Amino acid sequence: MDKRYAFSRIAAEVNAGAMTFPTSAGHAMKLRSELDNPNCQIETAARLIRAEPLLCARIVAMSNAIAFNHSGRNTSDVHTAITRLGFRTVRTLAVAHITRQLASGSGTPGCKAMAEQLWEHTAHVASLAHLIARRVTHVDPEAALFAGIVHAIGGFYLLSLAASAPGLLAGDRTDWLETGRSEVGRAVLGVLNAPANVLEAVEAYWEGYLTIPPRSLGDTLLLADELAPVASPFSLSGSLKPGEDGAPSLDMVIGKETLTAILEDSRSDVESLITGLMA
Amino acid sequence: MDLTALTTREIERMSRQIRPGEWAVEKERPISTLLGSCVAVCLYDTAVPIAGMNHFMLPRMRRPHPASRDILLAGEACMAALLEALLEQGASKSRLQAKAFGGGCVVDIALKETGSIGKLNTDFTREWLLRENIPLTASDFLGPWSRKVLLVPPSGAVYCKRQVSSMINAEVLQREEQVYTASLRSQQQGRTPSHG
Repeated sequence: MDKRYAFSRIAAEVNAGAMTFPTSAGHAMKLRSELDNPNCQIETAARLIRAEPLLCARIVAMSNAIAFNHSGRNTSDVHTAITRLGFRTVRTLAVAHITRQLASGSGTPGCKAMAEQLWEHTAHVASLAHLIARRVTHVDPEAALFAGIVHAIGGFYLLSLAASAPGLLAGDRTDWLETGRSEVGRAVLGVLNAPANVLEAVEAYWEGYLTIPPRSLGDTLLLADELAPVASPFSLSGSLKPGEDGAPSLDMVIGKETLTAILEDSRSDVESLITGLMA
Repeated sequence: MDLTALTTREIERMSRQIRPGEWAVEKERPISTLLGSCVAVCLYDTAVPIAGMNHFMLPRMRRPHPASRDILLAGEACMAALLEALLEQGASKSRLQAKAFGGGCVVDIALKETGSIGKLNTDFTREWLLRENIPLTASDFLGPWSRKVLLVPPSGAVYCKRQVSSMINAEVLQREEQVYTASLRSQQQGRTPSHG
């Protein structure tokens, strides 16, 4: 199978409007569109969220994460959750739900396991990106969270196609990493109408050059990806865990601190975001 | 020229590329290198727009002494040559800072050996910088990647790309490093490495 050709063809089909979303993502799509309307009422958003229990649970869980729950009191009320998070974060979580649901129907147990691992990786990257934006690069944390959520969306779409074309996932991943993920990802992000700054950040992530010290939203995303302790199932780095011989070691001075110290200091903050995204 | 406005592709295109065993010092032109288990150290002056990069490896020797001592000297020589070139061109040692990269394992089948070489190189780098009292402000070491490193001398900014190498590219890179290793082994008299 000529995988590069196959990936280009998938991207072309998405660009031509052939991409379909699972029904479980339908409410999230509707919610996302509704939140694009500047006159959207909080009650309308709450009604759409309540109609999809999984999305509802995830939004409530996220509103209880340390980064958003400044009072320290947990809530189970959707209305309160929306107020805490704000429409922009709720919109991001709607896209997170769509992303996760994309591969929910993946056929074989192997594909299901890959989809689970890819979501776990995504949750780590998005949470770390939010932190790095706040503490290191000082770019928009909401945009960083969004970029983290969608950075591997091409992979989720590929997994959703795996049942009908299992050869796409077989063997070496080099073709996917070198050309496929950017071609397919770009096309899917176009369908999702991702903001220009997020598209630029994801393009920088595909390009792969991390500026040291990091500055941009793209650097924020790339650094989060490099620090994520759970590797993408499409990466080659899964074989080495932190602390093992030969495991990667990345650190840098950020002002008067080091990146390692900032990460250690913010561990519970990041963990609570991950828990919210994994709900 | 405002290099900060350029894309990394443009910076890479206009860069001066160094190979294993080489070093370069520049005031404006970017310097680049491609690393496997080798290490590249970038030294830059925080007050004067000048910076340099080297690319070296301390290959594991089968014979103990005196060959291993000579190889260690080759690493010392590569670092000392970079430092001297910077000082000659106006940098001040007290203002120098370092960013260092590499030590990756690029071919799975050789993971054990290249892994230990990578560790040897990164340990040497840390020790050398500590001994010379030059702060290491950033590092990206080890892991299963080759790396492309771009240094922009006026600012000391560095761009590092972890690369997933196809098997063919990884083997080409490994072959280049093996040629460098062989050349070091033949330089048992402790000759300094070449510079561009």
